[in-house]
Amino acid sequence: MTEDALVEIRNLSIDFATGRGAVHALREVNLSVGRRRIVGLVGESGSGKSTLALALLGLLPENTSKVTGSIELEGKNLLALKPEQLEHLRGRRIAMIFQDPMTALNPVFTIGTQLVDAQRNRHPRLGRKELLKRAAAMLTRVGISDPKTRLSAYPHQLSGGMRQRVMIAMALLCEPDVLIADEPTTALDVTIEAQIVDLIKDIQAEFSGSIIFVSHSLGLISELCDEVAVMYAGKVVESGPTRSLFERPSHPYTQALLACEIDPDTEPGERLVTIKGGLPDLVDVPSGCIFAARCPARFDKCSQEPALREVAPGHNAACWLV
Amino acid sequence: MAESKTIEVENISVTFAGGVQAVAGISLKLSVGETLGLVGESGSGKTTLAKALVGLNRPESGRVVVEGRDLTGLTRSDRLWLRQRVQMIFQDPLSSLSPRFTIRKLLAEPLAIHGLNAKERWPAVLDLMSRLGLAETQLDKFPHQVSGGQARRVAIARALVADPSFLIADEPTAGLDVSVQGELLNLLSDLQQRFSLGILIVSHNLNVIGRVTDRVAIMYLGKVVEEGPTREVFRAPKHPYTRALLSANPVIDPEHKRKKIVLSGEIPSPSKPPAGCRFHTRCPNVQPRCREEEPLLTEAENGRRYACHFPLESAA
Repeated sequence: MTEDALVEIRNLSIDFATGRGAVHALREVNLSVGRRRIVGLVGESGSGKSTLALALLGLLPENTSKVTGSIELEGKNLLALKPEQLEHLRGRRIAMIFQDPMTALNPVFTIGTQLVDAQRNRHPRLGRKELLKRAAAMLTRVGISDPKTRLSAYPHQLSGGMRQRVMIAMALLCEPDVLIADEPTTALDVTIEAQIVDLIKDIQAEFSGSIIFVSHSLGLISELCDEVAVMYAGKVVESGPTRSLFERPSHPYTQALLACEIDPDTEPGERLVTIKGGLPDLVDVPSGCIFAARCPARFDKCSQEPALREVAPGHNAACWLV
Repeated sequence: MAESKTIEVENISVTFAGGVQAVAGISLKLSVGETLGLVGESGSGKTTLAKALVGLNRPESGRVVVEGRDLTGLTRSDRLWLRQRVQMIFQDPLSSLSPRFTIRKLLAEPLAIHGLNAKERWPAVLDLMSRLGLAETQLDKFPHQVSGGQARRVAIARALVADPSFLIADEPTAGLDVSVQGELLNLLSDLQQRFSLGILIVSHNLNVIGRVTDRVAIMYLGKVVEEGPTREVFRAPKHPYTRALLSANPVIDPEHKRKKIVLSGEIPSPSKPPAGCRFHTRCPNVQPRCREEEPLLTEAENGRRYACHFPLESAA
């Protein structure tokens, strides 16, 4: 827990109702996001990283059957807010950049109209002209040339990279305290991805808020984030400052994920590392350590659930071996 | 067989209605026992080229020669023969499998189509299944009843039951978690050795390409800009685009030691490729000559080829 935490998530558990019973999508997640920090959430499909992002926005799906714990934004518990109060926060204090800008942008409105609408909540007193001016300035800021022309364009008339820049501009126009980026570069080509990552770094340098960057790419996370939380099957299994985490990966799952990354410098023909087995059933969650069934270092004690323990300053891992 | 077991692509171009030239004069060769990687960003024409190799796209000029047979002006029987020699696995395995067929039927269908004796062949099919880690108990399930990873294996099994010489894999690891990506790649290399396949892997994942291919061709806007043995191309790229691609590839680097080359600008539209060198609008080393004269793909040492007026010097 940092002193000046902007977002403090405590013991957050979320269940979804399904025909088979409750899916325990998140279990007792703790995460602290400091001001002006980029925090990476990394994990594979089913790890709960997107559920966590949606919970922050108050956009959990309708079949959410249980939410316990708290999400505090500067001391105010978002989970206790009424829907209209949450709506007030969204687009003012919390904004999101989605994975696929083509589906997040409305195809029948111009970029200008959408950028204006995005600011209404933040600047209810400003007129359309003023808001368009701000939109044009922000498009220039995110590296779109000829912003005037772009404002009257429709999403399909822009390239994928440009659409993602529009999404980022839209989020920044809300001047949020917390910006959530959910896999913002997966739909982009590598050379464009590098441009967007550079842009996020630039924004961070002059932005007073925090960024939560959700990704399955350890490479991207290592390049961009100050801190990382590694998630597995609804739990944070390891978290800490990026450097410490990559230097001393302490949870066997983090170690396995790192080992699975393909190192292009090794000899071709060597077998690639995989993690045997699959995700545990999140309806009937096994007792003990959640990773035990796939863990190469499993021993007797793993039948009890390990708590997060400190490996290095601010760096914790939930494993009996640390 | 007297003919060489290769697929040879000779100067093919593929143009779509509307005048988009997706593939603009490409020559490549794939031999059995070899894995060739095809790398490029969206719109570079890599999938179009891959489809031309299985006869799904007709080139407007140039030739595709499979095991000595020219595919230009394919007849119906040629097509059937081609499908047996060259098989493709698609990006999304589930959508490439009929939801109304059981896995048994999905695997038997290619045998029937190619007039192979299913009874005689069935032990080989079962052997293939066990190599792929599919249990016989799954034969009577439908594709949606097995996991995504298993559906992918069924798609691979289906591609291999008729004993092809070549396998074209379009983004075989797209959408896979890293923990299972390695499993699929290990599988492909096992199958290659077992059946001495020639494999073409289309991917934008440079780590995958770097690890599993023998040779690599880098595409940009419908052209091959560089080709050669993967290790050498990755170690010392000659084309500035190859270098930029390799540099943009995210790697684990928490101390930020690596300096990236970030290309400016967007990928131009393939319907209006720039004059001269197609990469000149984004090239960090652009010279006046690049804007006017298109560089040709020229042969260099160690079986390498590249198309650049000012190739990069090997880093000392």
